[in-house]
Amino acid sequence: MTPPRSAYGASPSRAPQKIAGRFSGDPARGRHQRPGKAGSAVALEWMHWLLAFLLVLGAGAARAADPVPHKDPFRGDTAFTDHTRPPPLVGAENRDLRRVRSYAMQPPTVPHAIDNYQIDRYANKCMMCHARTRAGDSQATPISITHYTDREGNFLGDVAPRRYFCDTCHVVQMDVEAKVPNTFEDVDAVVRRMREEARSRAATPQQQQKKK
Amino acid sequence: MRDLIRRYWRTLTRPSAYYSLGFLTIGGFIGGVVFWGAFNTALEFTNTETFCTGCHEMRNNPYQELQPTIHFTNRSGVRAKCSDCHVPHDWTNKMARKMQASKEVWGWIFGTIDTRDEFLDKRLELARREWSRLKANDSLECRNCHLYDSMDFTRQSKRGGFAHSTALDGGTKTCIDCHKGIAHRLPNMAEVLP
Repeated sequence: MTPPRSAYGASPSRAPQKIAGRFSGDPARGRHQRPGKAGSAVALEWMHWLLAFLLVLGAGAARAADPVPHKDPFRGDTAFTDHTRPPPLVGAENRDLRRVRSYAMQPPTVPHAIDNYQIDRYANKCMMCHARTRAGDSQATPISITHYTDREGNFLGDVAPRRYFCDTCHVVQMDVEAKVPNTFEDVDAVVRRMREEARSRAATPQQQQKKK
Repeated sequence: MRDLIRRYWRTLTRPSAYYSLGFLTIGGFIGGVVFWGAFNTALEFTNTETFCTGCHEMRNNPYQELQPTIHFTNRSGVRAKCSDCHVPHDWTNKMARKMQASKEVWGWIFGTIDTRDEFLDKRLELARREWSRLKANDSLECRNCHLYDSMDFTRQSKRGGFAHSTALDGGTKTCIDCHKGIAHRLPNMAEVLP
């Protein structure tokens, strides 16, 4: 049916090849041909060939015309044939000071080191301080009530299995340069900016009217 | 049998007719030194990591788990070996522990812990034994290296400094109460009360 896959299975020209193969080399195609319409079928086949050719051409052109070469922030200027020199490892911040959440629903980040903390079916090191019953001794923040609900919304007696693996959501932070730029803005900052904009609009109504 | 014992007793209680007093005393002294040296060397050999990890149940289970922990891999390269934590350092207690350990030889001969699953099944029992031992001797093996008087709380994390300056200082808690599972993985803690 399809032409034999070449060793370059992942090359970008694969898709056009496939299309071409499907429309030209398909032996099952004959069954759908209606008798007496051979001329239009030939024209259709030519059109398919043309389409496939254009697609291949287009893909090549798009690659050639790409003006900004892709730059991986993790690799920098290192060619893909070379090894990068990774930055030195940094330990997790261990100041025991709660950080501000960036948004209300954000799982709070862990303000201490959790190296070698065991979280498996035998033991959960986090819960030895953060469990409801341990908070008195440890003075750690006990896990919130949301961690007791299963997916049906039932409240369980202890942490729900789906919330068991703490470090899926709660992570330590390290003092390093961000490799990927982030333009996230706190909702409070957005609201404040919008308010200020509205205020400045209200303060200069004549200017606004002139513009209109 | 009784005659045999009597004969040996008579030989032991009679003065020697063939060997000089000098030979017996000096020979006895040298013999004692050699015996004691050999005994101690053999005993110390059973304290080495080579000996402990000589059998597969120790090499494949606790020793593998120790290696990523701070007691094996750390910035300064000072590390604990098995006997630092599991064998008391002073002589009497060491002898007592070595005698207890003869049961472990029994377990080794009969393959009590042959597979990983057998180890995991038995782990709670094994861990409880070590916890109660450390609890009873006020975490002596920890304190052989970690001296309370030399702890600088300002260099510790806030939580650590607080716990050490209150619970550990007051004697209400000992090291093992909080620091379980620091050198090996924890057993099933569902039934262990904190």
